[in-house]
Amino acid sequence: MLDVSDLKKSYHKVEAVKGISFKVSTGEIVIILGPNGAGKSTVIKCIAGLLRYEGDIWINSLKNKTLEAKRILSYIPETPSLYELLTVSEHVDFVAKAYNIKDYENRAEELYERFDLLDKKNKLGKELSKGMQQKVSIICGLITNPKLILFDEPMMGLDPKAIKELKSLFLELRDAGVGIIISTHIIDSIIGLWDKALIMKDGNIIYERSKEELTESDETLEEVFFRATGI
Amino acid sequence: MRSIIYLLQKNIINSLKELRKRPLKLILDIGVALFITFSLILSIKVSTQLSDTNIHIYKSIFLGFILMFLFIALKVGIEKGNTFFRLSDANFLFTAPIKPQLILFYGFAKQMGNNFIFFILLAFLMPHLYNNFPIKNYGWAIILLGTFLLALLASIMGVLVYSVGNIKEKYKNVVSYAVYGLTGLILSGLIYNVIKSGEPLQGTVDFLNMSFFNYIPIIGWLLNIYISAVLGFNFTTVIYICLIILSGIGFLFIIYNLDLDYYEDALNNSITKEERLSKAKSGKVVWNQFDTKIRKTTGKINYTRGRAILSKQILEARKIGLIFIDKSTLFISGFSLIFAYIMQNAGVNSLLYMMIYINIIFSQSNQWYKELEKHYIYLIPESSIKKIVYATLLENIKALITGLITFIIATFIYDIGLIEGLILGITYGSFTCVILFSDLIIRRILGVGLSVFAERLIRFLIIAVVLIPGLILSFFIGFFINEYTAGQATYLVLILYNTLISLLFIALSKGIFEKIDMR
Repeated sequence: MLDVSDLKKSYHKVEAVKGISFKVSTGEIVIILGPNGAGKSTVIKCIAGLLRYEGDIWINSLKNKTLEAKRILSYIPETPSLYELLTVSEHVDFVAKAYNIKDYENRAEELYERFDLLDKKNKLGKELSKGMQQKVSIICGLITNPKLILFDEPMMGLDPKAIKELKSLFLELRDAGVGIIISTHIIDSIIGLWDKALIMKDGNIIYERSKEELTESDETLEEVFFRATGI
Repeated sequence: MRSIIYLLQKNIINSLKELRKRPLKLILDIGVALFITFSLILSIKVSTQLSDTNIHIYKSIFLGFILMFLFIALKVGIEKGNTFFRLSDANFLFTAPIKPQLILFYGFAKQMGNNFIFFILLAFLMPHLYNNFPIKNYGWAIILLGTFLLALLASIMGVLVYSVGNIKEKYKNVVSYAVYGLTGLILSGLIYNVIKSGEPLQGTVDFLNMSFFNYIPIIGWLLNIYISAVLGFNFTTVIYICLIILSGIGFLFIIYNLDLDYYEDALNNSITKEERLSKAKSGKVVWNQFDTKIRKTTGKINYTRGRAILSKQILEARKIGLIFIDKSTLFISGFSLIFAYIMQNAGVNSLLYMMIYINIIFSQSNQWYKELEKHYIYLIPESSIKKIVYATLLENIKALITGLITFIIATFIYDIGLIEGLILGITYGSFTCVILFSDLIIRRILGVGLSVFAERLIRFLIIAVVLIPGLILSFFIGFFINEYTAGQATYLVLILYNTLISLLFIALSKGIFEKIDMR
């Protein structure tokens, strides 16, 4: 599904990502953990095609910046970014039209209900709280029926019910064969969800294990995280 | 108090250290400082003769400046004095065991720093002042001192008004009525004078030269300081300077002894301020959208793929105005027509150039820039060229309509034909296309994290380099064939050149979304 190979990204003279490689399979949830400044968001943005980079990123054997790859990719940014003058439902309409998605209305209604936004459908982007904006951002990411979704700190600002819904959505999407990448620095938020964990520090992947491998080693993810990052 | 001084000290020291890390910004800043210094030195040698007329105009300009500066400071004080603070201030200082008055002074000190921009603007204007008015050799120093005192006192008065209004809603209303009442009185007087004289410019100058302004405390004192730059520095000037300083100390004393509780307001507004500042920092003009009434519309996004971007923009535009006319259209048209009325003798081309200049200044606030801030345009599965065309189409049509409206009205001011007005409107529209599409190549060149000022300067230079060949070409071709084309060849060449350059930029922008970083 996703193949990242020798990915490097520098901001001016600072190397934010130093040649990392990893893969995400169909129906796999990969979490990227790391302390602040480890390069997690940069990796996510490179995969989303928002930054220039060195190396290769392939989505379903397509270069990530090609139109074909974009059609099957979704990205939910760390800071929700909505149009101030569009309502919640207009955001969803816009994204659906831009991706040429047909018959999305029922799916949208279902997502509004799951994220408690049914009564907020006609609210403008700027009238929403940060948490609600994040919910809209998630719905916009899901409405395009992607094959690969990138979540950058998706739980930030969400209420407990929305977190619960999102977690069950992760599992539903995985069962439907969607590849998911979740970047976070809050380990507790993704316990029981992931299939593969990558731990980043200073722009490098310093640990990569599947859930089975970790179970065999008899360590918890938290223990591994602190040992690997040395914090 | 020590913590606040520490904070201010660190802010200044660290911003200076930042300069060292960004040598390009430092070089540009030094370049600007040298340019200002040289223009000051050179301008001092050129001095006009003293006459009643230019003294009257000089007085009007500075009185208008003082009144406007004080009004804005007081208005900000009444409505949102809390905008002296950033969110970080609210998070760290408001929770710290520091007297609210001291925190207010800190806000005031920061405000003073913000006023520094006026000194730079004045320094830029100094050669023009020396060219037009009989200012003494040392006059520039008095003008800068007067402006420093004005900024200082205006900031203190803003804080005072805010503090008083914060004690009780009733006090806030009283202060508000007083400020708006006085402003209303002055404006009524101005309008009465303009109507009475029948000459807008002369009427304004006559009104602002009325002797009673000299007797209004603070306003009169400041005005006399500015006038001494022309008539000479004397003992009276020293007295006025002392009076201003004493007033400031008096106001500060009152503020310090007030019982203040403003944190809640400040916290709420600092969030809004953060958004505005982040926009301003990236070089955008904030059109006060937070206060704009948003209309409920039943419109829909009717198109798919790249055209969905245009459809969305039309929906957004319908909510805040007409599709092709918004605040920026009204501002550019209004300002340009006032310019045309005042500078009638300079000819219709001066209006065209003025509009292009305003367009360049405001170009970073347009819809294209807003689209680039969000991730959607990068991710939409559509070719770059189509996304660019649809994301800029509305802005291009809006500019064309702005040009047509302005130049059709201007035909009455300049007494030119309707056809010429229409061609000029289209010419302006074509310039907007070039400015807008120049951004595509500028973005590739400027991907190095320059400061807003440096970026603006380079942006301006690149646009100038792109536009100048067209202007030269149109001048030469127009010179030879204008008589066969009823004088319109110059504009037609410009339209053709701008269209070709725009198409070239669009063609060169293939794959741009894959080659630029989202900011």
